[in-house]
Amino acid sequence: MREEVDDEQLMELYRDGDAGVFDILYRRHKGGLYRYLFRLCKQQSIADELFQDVWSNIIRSRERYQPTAKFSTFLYQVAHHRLIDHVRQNPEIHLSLDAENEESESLVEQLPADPGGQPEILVERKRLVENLVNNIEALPALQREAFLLREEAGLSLEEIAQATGVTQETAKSRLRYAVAKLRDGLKGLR
Amino acid sequence: MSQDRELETYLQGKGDLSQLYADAQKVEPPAHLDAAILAQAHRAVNARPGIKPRRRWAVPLGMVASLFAVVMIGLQLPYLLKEPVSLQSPTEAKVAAVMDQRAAEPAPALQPGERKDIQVGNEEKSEITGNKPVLTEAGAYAPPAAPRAAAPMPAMPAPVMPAKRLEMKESAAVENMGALSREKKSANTGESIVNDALEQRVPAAAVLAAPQRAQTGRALQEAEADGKAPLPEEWLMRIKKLKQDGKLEEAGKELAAFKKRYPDFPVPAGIEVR
Repeated sequence: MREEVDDEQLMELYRDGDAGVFDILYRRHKGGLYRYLFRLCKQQSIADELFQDVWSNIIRSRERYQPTAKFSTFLYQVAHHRLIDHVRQNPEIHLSLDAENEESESLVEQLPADPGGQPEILVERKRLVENLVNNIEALPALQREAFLLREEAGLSLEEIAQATGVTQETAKSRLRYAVAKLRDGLKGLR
Repeated sequence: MSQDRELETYLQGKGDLSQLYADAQKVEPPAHLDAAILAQAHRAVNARPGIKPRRRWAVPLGMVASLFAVVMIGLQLPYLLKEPVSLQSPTEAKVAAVMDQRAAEPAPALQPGERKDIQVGNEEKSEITGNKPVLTEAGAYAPPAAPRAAAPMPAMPAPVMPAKRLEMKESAAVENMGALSREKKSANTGESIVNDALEQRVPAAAVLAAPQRAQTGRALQEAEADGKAPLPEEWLMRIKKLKQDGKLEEAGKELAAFKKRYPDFPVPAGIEVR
């Protein structure tokens, strides 16, 4: 029954003292948030620390929570700010937007959506996935963040802009460059 | 423009980027992190019931209690500042206030049948308001009575009073008797206390100050003041001696003078001069 309740209602229930609903909320978002942090900071120990900090922040701020936006937007907004704090303390993480504007053609679209159990295709798909992950990690941090917010949290452009504190056009630009680079990386495999 | 198309396709979920990414290894947080975070979440909520109910009513109740105390102090403050500290008991203070007021008032003579209204109610008010001016019988404001020291009511000598204390004028005696009789009629508790005290201060000797007794006292005083008329007993002894000495004419004159001076004094039969 409670599994069908949306995130915002669960958070309100938790705010009002129902501790049990937090487990549901946590299960829904722990994987996406962890991967978001892990793929951005690239170190598991740091990702662990940031992950725990983000959830602690959510727990502490529960009484101030108002469902004015999606819970996932609120959660990743907290995560973004925590990440920014971490980057400021660790200047080796370069958060710059390296704009590239090259046209690319999609080779991924040529791959079958369902490998269907064929060994050659499975190996090929695995190679593409590994390459994609490598390309994601090679993206500039802000473009990578926009892509991860879209993939892991399912946020729209507007919500990505809200979570990262930028305009919608800026968020759109970051995501556009990220998608273009990833497609270029996959095209090179062919 | 092609990038925009790619983005639109990607956002519509039609591209393969999302499908490939979904096949990537799903990194999950370690189990100990899950346990720590969930425990923290449960602790935070379970710690609330002990605090929240206290906060709900403790602060408003404290504020209401403080406000009530301030209001009560504010209402009592004028009285606390104005009232002098008195060591008298309530009864003594009540009696003292009435006696002081009586002393301050003039004592007009009452005509026969005239009614004198004693405003015991005002006396009661003066007791409450302390030194505040009170309305006298004439309707004018009397100055506030000075606070009395806490001393017990002096015990008056009962029925026998010295001659000098019988100087009470006839009119004053009548007034006192009238006032006392009217005050006795009152059923008010405060009035009864006042009446008891008045009866102590004006005992039977004063009440019995009838006109004839007053005249006798006045004649004695005048005789004593002149140094001519002795006391009646002495005077009668002297008349008796004159009679025994055979000075009947002189004894008769003295007896006539005695009777003139003390017309109601009983003369013994042996002294009568025939």
